[in-house]
Amino acid sequence: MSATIRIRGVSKRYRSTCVLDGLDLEVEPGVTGLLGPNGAGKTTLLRILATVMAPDSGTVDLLGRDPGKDADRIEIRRRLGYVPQETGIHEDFTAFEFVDYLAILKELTNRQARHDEVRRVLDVVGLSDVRHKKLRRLSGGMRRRVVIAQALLDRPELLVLDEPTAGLDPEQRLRFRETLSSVSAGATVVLSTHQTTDISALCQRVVVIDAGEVRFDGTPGELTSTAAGRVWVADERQPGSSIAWVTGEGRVRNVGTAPPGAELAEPGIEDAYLLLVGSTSDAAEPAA
Amino acid sequence: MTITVAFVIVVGVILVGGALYRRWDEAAHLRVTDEAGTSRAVPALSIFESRQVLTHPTWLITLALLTTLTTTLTLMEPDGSIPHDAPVTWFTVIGIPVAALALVVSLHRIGTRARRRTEEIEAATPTAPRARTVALLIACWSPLPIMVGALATGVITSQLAYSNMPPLALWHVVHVLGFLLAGVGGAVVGVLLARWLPFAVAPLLGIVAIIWLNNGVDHLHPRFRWLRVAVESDYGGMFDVRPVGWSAVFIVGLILLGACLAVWRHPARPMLFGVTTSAVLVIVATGWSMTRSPSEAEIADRVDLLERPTAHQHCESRGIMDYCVYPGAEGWIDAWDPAARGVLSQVPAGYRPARLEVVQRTTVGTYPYLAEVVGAVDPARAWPADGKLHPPLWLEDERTPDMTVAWQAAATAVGLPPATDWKRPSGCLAGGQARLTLAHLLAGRATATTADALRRKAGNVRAEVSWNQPVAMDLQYDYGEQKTPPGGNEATGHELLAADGRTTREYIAVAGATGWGSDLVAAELLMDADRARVDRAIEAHWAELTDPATPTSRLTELVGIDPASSAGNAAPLIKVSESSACP
Repeated sequence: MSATIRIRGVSKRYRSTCVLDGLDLEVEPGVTGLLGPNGAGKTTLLRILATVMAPDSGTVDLLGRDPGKDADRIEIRRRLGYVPQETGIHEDFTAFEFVDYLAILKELTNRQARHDEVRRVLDVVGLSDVRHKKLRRLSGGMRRRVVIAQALLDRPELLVLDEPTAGLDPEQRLRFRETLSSVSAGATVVLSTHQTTDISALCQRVVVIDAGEVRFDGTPGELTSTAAGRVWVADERQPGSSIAWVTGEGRVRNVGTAPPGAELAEPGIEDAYLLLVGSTSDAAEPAA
Repeated sequence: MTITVAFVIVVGVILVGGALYRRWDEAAHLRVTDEAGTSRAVPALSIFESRQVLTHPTWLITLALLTTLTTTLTLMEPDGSIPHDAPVTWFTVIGIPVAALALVVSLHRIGTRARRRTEEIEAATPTAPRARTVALLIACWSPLPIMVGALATGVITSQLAYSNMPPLALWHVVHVLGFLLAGVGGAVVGVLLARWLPFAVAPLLGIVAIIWLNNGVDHLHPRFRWLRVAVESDYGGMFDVRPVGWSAVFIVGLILLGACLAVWRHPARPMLFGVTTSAVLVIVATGWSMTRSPSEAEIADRVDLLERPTAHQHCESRGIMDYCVYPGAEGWIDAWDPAARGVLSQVPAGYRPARLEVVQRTTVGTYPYLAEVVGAVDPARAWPADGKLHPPLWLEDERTPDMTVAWQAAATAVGLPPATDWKRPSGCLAGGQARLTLAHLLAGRATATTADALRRKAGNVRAEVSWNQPVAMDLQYDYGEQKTPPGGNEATGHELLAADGRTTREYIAVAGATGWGSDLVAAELLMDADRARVDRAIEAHWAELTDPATPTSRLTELVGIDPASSAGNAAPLIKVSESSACP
């Protein structure tokens, strides 16, 4: 399978801060998850993939086109769905109006066909019943699903999702997984999240970015396996652990360099992630 | 500061302020706007944005208010009939300017909706920001049919409520057109401000600037109409060198320029240079056409229209009546003739005038003549005391287009001056004289509409308790004010005359004589008295009743009615001097 995203030596700076530093990445169709601590450069990378930001240097190839060229960038946008990390909504719009507005901007100009498509994507995210409600009357989770709905318009070939499940409750997150798995067939989905469980559940591939560089690139299983033999349980925090916490069973789960004779535990993807980016990261969520 | 300089300053503030704001914004915030994109979505987006405009709360509230307000103002007419242009006038003078200002706010709100909200999502679509601006500018026209509909609602309501309202004329459409365009202009200003000054206070500043440009700067200058956004119906016409229609074109030019400046916020394209240049040329050409100084020949022509009206008028004779009217007023003769005949038929045969001449004449006070014409005209030739009847060009109250001629015919018959003249620009006083009351009575009995007019006027006297104040049987002016100059002195004979740019000069009214409110009420009582008895009194005592020394009480006494019980006994507020008394 050929790569639909090719990034070579991409760098990006904000004033004096280097956010991406010569990043190389190739992504094939399927769901690819991006993990990394805050400030790692995930959002910047996704903005570059969504063509809303240009890199300072390096080459980017999306869907076989160069986003640095106006004509190519426009064509990429026709085949793109994007959920930014932090996006507002037009609160005076209804859910239908909001998605309809974005559908027009995506050049779905035939009214009947466009409205059919708007109804379809709202149905996909489970908002058909509230489509004529003003957005200000919807919950935060519903609003997030409206934003996801607009990204699904016209069945995009490239779907860029920056923390799409932020603000969703557990049930909504499960529904999102169901939605994503139904729309991702044949498409390239790049998903940034802090929810390692989403990565495990959804992604065929995971990329860990830290300080603007790729620290890991492989399957979720391969990422998890990097923590094999480095997670153990004990009655108290042990020397050599980079992070430790008391589990619900009253024992302490230690992650780090296991001492000889330690009672090893089955590692999870979050353990591997923590070991990879360091125990000082504030991005990791507590183990589920 | 001239209005032109003020306009350039306002535009400059918008453009420079917008550029500075953009520089600061880009330095302080991450901006992801990308100008690349297509315009394919413009038609669909225009429809979408039009729907947003038409359902925007600011606009909806204003629309509801203006429709209610204009219809209410129309229906508030107390006597069951209205001037036939009242719905149009209320709507255009009050409704549309307010709506236009509301549209400044609405379009600004709509145009700035993406600011730091969905900007990033929108930037990831193939549609260019320019296309979104163009769609908004197209949507600016969407309120137009709604405004027309609101106007139609007012007109139809009025038509249904008042059976005697004549149909609308073409000039109403021309008059309204400029105001409707001004409404569109307000919306375009909203888009312009949204693109250059995308913060909440900008539309409010824009509204202040619009009001300032229209009313605060240089508004007494003779060339004030330059940049005035609304067409005023009292400009233009045959006495001006600048046709009214050009003003509408001028406003279209302003709309086009505003739209171009909004699009200039995006990277320039060659076509935009061309359109902007065209807009500027239209504004300059139409602005020049509306503000230029007239040539010597044009001044002479306009002066001749005033000084020798009959040389330019349509004239015809009907019986003992000779009529001369300016082009376009020929139809009025049909309304005037029955009124004049109705008056003369009540005059005893021996006292009936052999001939009566009716020559339509301007009323200077409401005509903003070109300043050059005002300076060149000889008032003594334009408004001589020639004993002829002089109905004005416009009647404020078109319910009774025949009352002025009826009253002037009656005034002539009883020996009062029918019309004002240069030496007596606000007429003379004949308050308390039987001949004045008789003139009111003859005029009021001439036709059904003149009877209505007299009753309405008498009703106003009762409502305003103006028994002892000057009240003329003249429908165009408020004589209570005209007769009492500032300081409370007697009328000097020199009132104010409007010139171009609202410079005020000498004033000439219409009715040649004025009485007290009590005379009008007495005339109404006489109308309601036994007709045969009144006719006999007039027939038998004509000479006595038309003597200036005979008081109104003598006439009522002859008929056997007591006006004092309803008219009050207060002494007149104004002392009639030798100079102000009617001959």
